[in-house]
Amino acid sequence: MTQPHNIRSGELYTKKRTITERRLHGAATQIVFMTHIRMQVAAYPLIYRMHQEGALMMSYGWFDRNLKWIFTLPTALFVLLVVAFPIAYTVKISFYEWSMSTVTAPKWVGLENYTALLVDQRFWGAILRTLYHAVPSLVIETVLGVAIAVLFSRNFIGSKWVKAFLMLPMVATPVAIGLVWLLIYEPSIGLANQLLKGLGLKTHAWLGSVDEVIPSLIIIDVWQWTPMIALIVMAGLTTLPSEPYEAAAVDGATAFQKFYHITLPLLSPTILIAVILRIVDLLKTFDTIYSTTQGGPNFASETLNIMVYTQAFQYLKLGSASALLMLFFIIIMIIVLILVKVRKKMEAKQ
Amino acid sequence: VKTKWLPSACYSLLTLIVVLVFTFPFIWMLPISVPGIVTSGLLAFIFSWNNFMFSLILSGEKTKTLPIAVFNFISASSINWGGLMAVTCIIIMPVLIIALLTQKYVVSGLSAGAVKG
Repeated sequence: MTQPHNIRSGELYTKKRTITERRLHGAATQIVFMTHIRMQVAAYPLIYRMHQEGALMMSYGWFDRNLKWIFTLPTALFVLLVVAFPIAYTVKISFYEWSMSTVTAPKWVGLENYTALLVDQRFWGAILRTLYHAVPSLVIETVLGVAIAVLFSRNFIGSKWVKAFLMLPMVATPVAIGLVWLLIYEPSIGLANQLLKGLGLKTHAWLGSVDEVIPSLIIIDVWQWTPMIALIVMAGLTTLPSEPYEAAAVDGATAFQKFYHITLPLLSPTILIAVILRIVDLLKTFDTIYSTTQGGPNFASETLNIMVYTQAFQYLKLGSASALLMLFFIIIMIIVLILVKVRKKMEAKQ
Repeated sequence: VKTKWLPSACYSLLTLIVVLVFTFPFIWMLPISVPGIVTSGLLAFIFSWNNFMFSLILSGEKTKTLPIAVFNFISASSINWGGLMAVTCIIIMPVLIIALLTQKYVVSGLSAGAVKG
C-alpha cells in the first residue's frame, strides 16, 4: 500500500475527491496511526521509567497548566506592539505641545489641549457633522441592506453572480470611488446634473454647496456600503430554521407577516452585528471624504477624522490632534459599548 | 542505524516525535486551513492595495502609492478628468478582477464572524 502522491501537497482537501482517492486517504491515515501506536508500545519501557522518575509528568504538567498563555503569547505580544503602544503614545502626546520637529522637544501643557478643544466651536461642529453623516447613512444602509438580502436570498439563476456584484463596491478602492463620484457630482459636466437637466428638474451644486455636501457624501456611502449589510444578512438568512415558516404557512400567514414576525426577530442579532461594524467604520470615514471635498466647502464636511488629519499634518499641532483622537476614541467606545449591551439584552430575551 | 549509545526504544520514540512534529502540521492541519489562509491573504491584499491613510501620511515624494499619486491630476486651477479617470480605472481593475475570480473566498471573508455557527 502506498500513499497517494498528492497527500503532502494538501490537494485532497481542496479538490472534490473520488471514492478511490478517499479510500486511499483513509488507508494512509490508518497506516500512520497504526505506526504511532506501534511506536508507543515500543517506547513504553522508556516512558514508564520516566513516569516513575516524575520527569515527564512534571514537564507535561507545567505545559498543560500554562497552555492558554503559551498559545496566546505571540498574539498578545503582537497586539501589545501594534495596538497598545501607539494608543499609549497618543495618550502621552495629548498632554504635550509638539509640532513634530526634531529640534524642539515636546512641551508639557497638562490638560490644556483638552480644555482648548472643549471650548472650540470647530470641534463641536465636527462632532455634529460626524453624527449627521453617520446616523442617516446607517439607517438607510440597514433598511436597504436587509431588503436586498431578503429579496436575493432565494436561489434563482445567477444568484451567485448577484452576490459577486454586490461585493464589488466594497472591495473597490475608496479613493477611486471618491474620484468617480467627484466626476458624477461635477456641476456642469457631471452625470448627476445632466440627469436632472434631462428630466427637467432643478440642478444642484452637490459637493460645492454647504447644505448639500453631507447628503451627497451620504449617497456615496450608501452606494458603497449597503452591500456589506446585505451580504452579512444574507449569510445570517441561510442559518435560519425552517420550522417557524412551515408553522406560519399552516396558520395562513401572509408574506409580510412572516417577514415581520419571524425573519426580523430571528435575524436581529445578525443585523445588530452588521450595524456595529458599520457604525464604527462610518464614524471613521476618511478616504471618500478626503478625496472628494477635503473637509470643504468652508469646513461644511469636516468630520472628526478629517479634523484630526488637518490638525496633525497640516497645522502640525500633534498634541491637539492627539487629544482630539482620544475624545474621538471615547465617543466610539461609548457607542459600541451601548450597542453591545443592547445585543446582550436581546440575546437574553431569546 | 546501529548505535549502542541509546536503547532502541529511544530511537522509535525519536522517530515518532520527528514524524509527528514535522508531518502532522503539513498533512492534516495545513490542508484543512487552506481556505482560511487563502481568504485572509486575499483580504490582506485587497485592504493594503486600497489603503489610503497610511500612505497619505507616511509616503514621501518618491514613495507615493497609486491612491496618492492619482491626486497629481488635480491642480488648484483645473482637473484633468481624462487622466484622472484613466488612473482610477488602473487602480480599481486589479482588485475587481481578483475579487471576481476568488469571489467565494472574499464573500465568506467579508461576512465571516458576523454569523454564529
